[in-house]
Amino acid sequence: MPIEYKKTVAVLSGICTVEEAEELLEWLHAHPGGKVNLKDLEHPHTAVLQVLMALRPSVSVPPQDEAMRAWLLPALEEQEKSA
Amino acid sequence: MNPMLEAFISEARDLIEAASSCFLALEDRPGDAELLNDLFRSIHTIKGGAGLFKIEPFIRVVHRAEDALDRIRDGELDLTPERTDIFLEVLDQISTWLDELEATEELGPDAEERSAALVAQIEAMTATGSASPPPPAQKEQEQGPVPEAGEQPAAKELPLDSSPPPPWLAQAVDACFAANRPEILARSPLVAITYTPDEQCFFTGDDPLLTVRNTPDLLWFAVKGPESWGDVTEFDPYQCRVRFHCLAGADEPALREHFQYVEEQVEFQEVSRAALLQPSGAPAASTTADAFVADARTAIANSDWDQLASLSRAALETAGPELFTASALRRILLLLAAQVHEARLFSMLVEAVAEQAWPVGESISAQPEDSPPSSAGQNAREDLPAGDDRTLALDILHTQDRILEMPCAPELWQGRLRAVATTIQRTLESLGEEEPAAKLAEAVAEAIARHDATPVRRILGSALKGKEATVPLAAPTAPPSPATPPEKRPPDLGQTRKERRPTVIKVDHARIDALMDLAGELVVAKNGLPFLARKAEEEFGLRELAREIKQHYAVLNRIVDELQHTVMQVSMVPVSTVFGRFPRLVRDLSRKLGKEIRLLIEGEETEADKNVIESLAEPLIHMVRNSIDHGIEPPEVREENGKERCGVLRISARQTGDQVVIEVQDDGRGIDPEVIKKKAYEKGVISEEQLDTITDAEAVRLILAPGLSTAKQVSDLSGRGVGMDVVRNAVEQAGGTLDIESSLGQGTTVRLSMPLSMAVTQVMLVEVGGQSFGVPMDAIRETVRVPAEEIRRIKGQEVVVLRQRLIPICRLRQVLELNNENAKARETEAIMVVSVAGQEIGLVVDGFDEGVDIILKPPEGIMAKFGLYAGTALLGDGRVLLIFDLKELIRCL
Repeated sequence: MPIEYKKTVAVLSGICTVEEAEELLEWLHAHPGGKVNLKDLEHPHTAVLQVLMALRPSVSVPPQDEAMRAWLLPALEEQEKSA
Repeated sequence: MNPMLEAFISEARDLIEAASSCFLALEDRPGDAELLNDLFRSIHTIKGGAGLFKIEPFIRVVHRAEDALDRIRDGELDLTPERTDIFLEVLDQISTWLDELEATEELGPDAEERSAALVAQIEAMTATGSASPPPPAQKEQEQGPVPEAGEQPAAKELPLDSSPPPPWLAQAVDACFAANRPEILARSPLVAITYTPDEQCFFTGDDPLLTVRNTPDLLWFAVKGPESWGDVTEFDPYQCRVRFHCLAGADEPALREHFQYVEEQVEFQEVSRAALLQPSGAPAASTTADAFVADARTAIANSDWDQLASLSRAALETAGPELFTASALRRILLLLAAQVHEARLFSMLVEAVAEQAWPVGESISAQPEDSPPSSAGQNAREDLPAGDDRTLALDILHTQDRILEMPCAPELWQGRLRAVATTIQRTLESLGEEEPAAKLAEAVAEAIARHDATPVRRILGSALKGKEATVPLAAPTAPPSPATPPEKRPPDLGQTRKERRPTVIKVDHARIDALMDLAGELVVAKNGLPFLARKAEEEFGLRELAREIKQHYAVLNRIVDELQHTVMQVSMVPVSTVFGRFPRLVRDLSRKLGKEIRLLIEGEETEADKNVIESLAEPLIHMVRNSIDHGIEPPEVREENGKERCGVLRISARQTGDQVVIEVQDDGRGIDPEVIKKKAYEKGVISEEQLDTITDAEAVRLILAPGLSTAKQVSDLSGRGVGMDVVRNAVEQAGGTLDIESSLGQGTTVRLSMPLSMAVTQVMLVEVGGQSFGVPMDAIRETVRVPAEEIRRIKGQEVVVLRQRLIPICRLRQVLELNNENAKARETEAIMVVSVAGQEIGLVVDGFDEGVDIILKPPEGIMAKFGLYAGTALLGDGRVLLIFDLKELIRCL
């Protein structure tokens, strides 16, 4: 299960496919203060990434992978700035 | 079946059709760019769709074909008839595969072989065509970034170095500085990729992010959201709204290949290191960095990079982070970190700090945003035919002149002058003129000394004059319109796509059939109301109620009629769906048979029910084939006979009443009635008397008769008749009729009439022996009541003379053996004259009833054995009506 939904944190790990986008979106709608843990995320499908960019949940744990952080965090931050 | 596969198959079929008509149109208009583009798009879309399924052999072939087409589109190869043959063969194979996919969801067992064979054919054909046959393996490399690859496809996507770099470039470099990733400056040139995925791309299985992350030699990328995500509660996660900005070091062919499936959503731009270095930000007051500039110049002169680094770091701390200076300093530091020790680049940056402006010559877009020349120049280039360097150069020179004319802050003036001078010099160099370039340096020095741009402008003027005399240029002095708005750039793809999306839905034909059936049932149900009205009146004496029922019936009647009409419209398709195959058929056959044929198609917009059209396809192909094979003579024979070499085959469709009439007309050798007569007599199709009395027109028609036309000899004799019987059967089964006219040496016309729609049939009810039967209305010529004594007997055959014609009659009551005992002699007989296959016959019935619309259901089960009946239908009062198949009926007589 690439996304594990805990009480206040959604843990994204491995490869999140396009099917997971809607579920994540619903969870984030249902948990407005919900956070995301991206520690073991290897690849989010563009649709999943979009959900993160649009809803801007706070990131509890950034990705472990440095290359991943390099593009993912700016993408999420940029949205915060512009929004 | 997997709905995706289903959609793909149906879409691919349409595309194949479109592609083959493009190929044929290209034979008439070779090199038509629009057609080629359409063609390419069709094949490309097929390939894209196929990528979703595990059908490698299929994809391989399409991919090769696409490559070959690409080269044809770029003018590398010509589309010769031989190549068209191969492409058409590919389309045929794809069609076959689609059929196989539809039937079994996988390709046939021999797919690999066929695929390999076709790929080999395509390769052979592309190899033989080019001057230096490139083996396919090398083809990719061939498209490498060789500068002289002017006509290569690459040149289109990769504009000149001086093109404006994407606006996000500065952001990218700043981000890399922040992340301490100097490697983007270590290599040059890079390719900047702007990827705007299609909004609907998720539905085709795309993951743009994955594509981006897998980009070969990706150095940096960023994901950008839209300006605003809008209301997040209504956010649709399946609409792709992000864009990607990437910098990659890979060579362009590799990148193109990587993005080949989303080619139209991606923009590639080659960016030089200098373009990367262009700082951004607001210019500061010019004095702030003077100390730094002086020290830095010394450091660069001494190649003291450590010194430069510490100077820059110190200056960066004091400069506002948003300022131009800071931006330039960051680039110096990044460049140092990348270990690129090119004094020229550092100088450029340091001078940029000094002048708070980026040298114009280095990058056109370094000019202030509001200065039109850059966009004008760029635009002019877009409008120019490729390769017209001189015109482009002139345009650049004009632009420089205009820049010098523009007012300028005194502290920027010198920098601008130098920048202009650099541009002029390079432009002139590119035109191969060294001499004015040398003078230019002097002029610049003079101009700076005098603080007046005149010397430079003089040189510019003389250079321009020289050029304009030699280059016929359309109004070069007209200032390039400053109103070249940024909208002129390629429009946003997503948007145009949305507009282009047709408002057509594809519906499974079975559903339309079901709808049609229901509408038909409604007709029948509606027909029950008059019965009810009569019952109310006659059995229950409720005249008032009967009247009201009739009123309601009238309303219902109107609505049902409209409904039926509309439903019929839905399933109407133009005959062009069938005619569309003919250009190809004619082309293939005429090439094969060595005949020259001009195909004229008329009335292809005529519409008819889809089922009718479909049933037409086979017979029509037969007819066309016959005309080409046997009708139209070889060119030499035609010339001998004083005809034009090129035979004319005219296929026309028109609507008359509720019939569609399709004619296939050729101007070939025609049919010799004498030969047919003789043959028919020999075969026993006609008697000796008939042989003498038969008219030529009738004789020609004999070719449709069974027993004669199927015989092989006839085709040898008359040059016609191959499968004419088959054609006739198919047409008649579909409720149509076939007629033929021919004059020897002039040509032949085969005429085919079909009902517009097969859903509802009009029949007339007749009564025979206390039972009702239906007779198809279109066969009925007249209904008459004839005094019994007028019926005569000729050789045991009862006949009646009507309007000076002798019409044989038959008593249905006897034929059907119904209630013969109470068949008492009457004073008048009701005769229904019907015409079947050109022959008239009178049917004696007990009485005529009204005509009704019915839905003819073909007989099933046990009933199917009785060929006498075309089918059954349900009447309004619940009775089952048997409908005669008149042809069979007459055959049984």
